[in-house]
Amino acid sequence: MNRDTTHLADGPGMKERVNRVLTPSSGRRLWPGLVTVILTLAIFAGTAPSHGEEGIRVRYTSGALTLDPDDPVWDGVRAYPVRLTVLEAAGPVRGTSVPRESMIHLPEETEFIFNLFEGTPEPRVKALHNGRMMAIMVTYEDGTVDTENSPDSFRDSLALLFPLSLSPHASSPLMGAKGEPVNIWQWRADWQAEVQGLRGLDVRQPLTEGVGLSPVDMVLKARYPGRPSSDATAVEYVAEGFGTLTRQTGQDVRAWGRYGDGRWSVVFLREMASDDPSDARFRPGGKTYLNIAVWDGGRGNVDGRKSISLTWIPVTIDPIPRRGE
Amino acid sequence: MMKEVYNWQIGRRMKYPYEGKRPKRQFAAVFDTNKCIACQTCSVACKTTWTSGRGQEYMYWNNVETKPYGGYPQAWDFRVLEMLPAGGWKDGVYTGKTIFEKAEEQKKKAEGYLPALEEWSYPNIGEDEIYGTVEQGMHIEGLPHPVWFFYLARICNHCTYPGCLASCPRQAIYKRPEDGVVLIDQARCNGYKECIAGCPYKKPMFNATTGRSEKCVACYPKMEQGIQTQCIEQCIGKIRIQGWISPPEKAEEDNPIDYLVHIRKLALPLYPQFGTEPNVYYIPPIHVPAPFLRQMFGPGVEEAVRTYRESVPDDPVLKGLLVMFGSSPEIISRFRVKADVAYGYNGKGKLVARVPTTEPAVVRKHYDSRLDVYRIDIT
Ligand code: SF4
Ligand code: SF4
Ligand code: SF4
Repeated sequence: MNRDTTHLADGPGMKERVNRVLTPSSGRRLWPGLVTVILTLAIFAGTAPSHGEEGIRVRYTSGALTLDPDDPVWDGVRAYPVRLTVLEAAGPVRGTSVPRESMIHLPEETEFIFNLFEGTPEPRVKALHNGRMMAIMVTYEDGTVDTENSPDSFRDSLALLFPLSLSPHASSPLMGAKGEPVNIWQWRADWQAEVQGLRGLDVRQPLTEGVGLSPVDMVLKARYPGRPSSDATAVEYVAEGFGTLTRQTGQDVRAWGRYGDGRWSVVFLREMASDDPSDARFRPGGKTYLNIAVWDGGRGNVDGRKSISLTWIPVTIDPIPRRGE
Repeated sequence: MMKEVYNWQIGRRMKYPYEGKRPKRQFAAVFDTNKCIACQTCSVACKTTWTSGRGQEYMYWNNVETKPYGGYPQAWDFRVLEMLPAGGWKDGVYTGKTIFEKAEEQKKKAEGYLPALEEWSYPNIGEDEIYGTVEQGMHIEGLPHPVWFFYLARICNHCTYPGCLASCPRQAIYKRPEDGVVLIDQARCNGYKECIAGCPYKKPMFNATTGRSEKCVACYPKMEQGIQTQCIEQCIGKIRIQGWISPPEKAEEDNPIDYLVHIRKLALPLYPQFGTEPNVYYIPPIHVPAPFLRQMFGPGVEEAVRTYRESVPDDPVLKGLLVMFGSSPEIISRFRVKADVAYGYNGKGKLVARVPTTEPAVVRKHYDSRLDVYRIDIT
C-alpha cells in the first residue's frame, strides 16, 4: 500500500476497510469494479503532485482583497487544477439517484460509495493574501445554475476544508476524524440568490404575507435561523468526521460567487489570524492543507453526494516581502 | 450494518439500521375510516396550530385524502409499493421485502423517493372520485360496494422503526423514550431531505425558508398534559381516539388501543409491509372490496371487516368503546363498559368520559293536538 493510500485510510475506520479490500484472503469475491476503486484511489492519491509538488501557493499582494471574482488583483495569478471524484454517499443514499451498475462501494459497513463513471468538475484554485486577509478563488464548470433549495430541488454549493492541525496525516481529508477536527467554509448559491433578491422559488411557492402569518413563525425563525445572518452567503463549520458537522458560533468567512460561461467563480475571504480555536489559522510564510467539495444541485447533490478531492492539497503561504525587497 | 429487530405487524424479525429498543410507552391512535366525512377540521386544526408560517404554506401534517385516487403527495403509496418487490403474506407473516430490506441490497438505509413540489401542491386531488362507474339506474345493495371511495385521514405514524430516523445522516431525528414520539431536532437538521425520501408515508416536509425539515410533533405539549392532539380532539366525525399501545404480548384488556388493535384486531396498521411498524391504526372501511384493503391494511382486514359488521351490534364492550371516540379532550388510558354505559379514565384514573351506548330517544306524536299542527320531526 503506498503512502497516499495510507493517509486516505486515516479516516474513521478506513484503514481496516481498505486493508480488507486489499486482502483477497478475506474470502470475499473481489468484483472487477472494486479493484478499480482501490487502484483508482491510489491513482488519485498519487496525483497529489499534479497539484504541483508544492501544491497551491498563496501569493502576496500589497493591495486590498475583495469578494469580487472579477477584481483585477487576480489577473496573472496562477490557477492550480484540482482533481475531484464523485462521492455518492457517506451514509444513506436516496432511492433513485444512482443507477446500480455505476455504484461502486467498499465492502460491508462502508460509509463511502464512490462513483468512478461520472465526470466531475475540474476546479482551478487561485489564492492571494495581503498579510491581513486571505482570499481563495475557485473556478469550476457547472452546466446549471441551481440557486434554489426547496422541497424538491438542491442548490449549488462549494466548500473548502482545512485541518486544524498542520500534519496532513492527522486528520481525514474526508470531513476530519475524531479528535482531529477540520474547519469547513461553505458557500451556498441559494443564500446568495436571496441576498441578491433573486428568490426563484417565489414563483413556484409564494410566501404568506400579513395577517395569515402566525407569530410562531418569527419565534421559530429567530431560534433556528436558516442563515448565520441575513446577509450571509456562506457558513462556517467544524467537523470531526461524517455526521458531526457543527455550525461555528463565530462566523467570520465571507464568500461571493459569479456565474458566467458555464462556470462558477467563487471567492472566499477571511482574516488570516483568528481567536476562535475551531478556526483554521494562516500565517504569512506558513503552510496548511486544503480540500474541496463541490455540490451540483442540478444533479441532486446534497450532504454526502458531492464531488470531492480525496487527498489533502498542500498550501504554502508566501511570506510578506521585507521592505525594499 | 443493519441490526435485527422484531416487527409484530409483519410477524417476523427484520433488518433495521438501529437496535430495536421500544420506548417506555408508545403514542398510538385509532381512526375509524367508516365515520370520516372529510370535513378537514383536523387538517385545519393542525395547520392553524403548527404550520401557519412562511415556508409552511404547502404543509399539512394532518391530511385527509380520498382513496383510491387521492394522495398527498400524489400517489405516495403506489410509488413506494412499486419500489418494493412483489411479496405476499403467509400465515400472517410478510414474505416480501420491507423498505429497509430493499435498501440493504443497495447499501442504503431506507428505500424511498423525494416527491416533486407539484405533487404536494394539490392536497385535495381525487377528492370524492369513485372507483368504477355508476351505471344508469344502478342500485347498490349489500357489501362491499361495486363502486366506492373512502376517506383516509393521515398524520405521522410515530413509527416504532421510523424510516425518517433511519435515513437521517446527521442523527437529527429521534424517538422520545418516554412516549415514542418521533421528532426532528431543528437545531441539528441541515435540510438534506433524506428523511422525506426515507419516510414511506411522506410525513416529514421541507421548509424552504428555514432550510430544515419539519414533521408532525404529535402535539407533544398537549400530550404531556394528558390532552389529545389537536387533530384528534377537534375531529368532527369523532372518528379518532388517542392512547398508548403495548407490544402484543403485553396487551391489556382495559386499554382502549390494545383492545381494538391486539385483542379484537379491529384496527390495523397502514401498509404494514413497509416495515416501519406505524402506530396509527385504522378500522377499515367495510364497503370497500377486500383486495384493495388487503394491500393497504394487511391480511387481517377481512376479519376486521367481519367483526365490525357482525360482532359490533351485539357486543356491548366494542359498541361502548366505539361510541367513546371523541367523547373527551383527555387521553383515555383505561375503559370499561357496564350496563350499556362506557366509562373512560385518564392516566391518573380519573373518570373523564361517560357515554351511553344507546342514546335515549323520545318519539313524539306526529300530530300535536294542543297546537293543532303536524310535526315534521318526531324524534
Ligand atoms: S375532522 Fe375527523 S371527520 Fe373531519 S376529516 Fe378529519 S378525521 Fe375526518
Ligand atoms: S410516519 Fe414517516 S415521519 Fe412519521 S415516524 Fe414514520 S417514518 Fe417517520
Ligand atoms: S398530532 Fe398534532 S402535529 Fe400531528 S398532525 Fe395532529 S395536530 Fe398536527
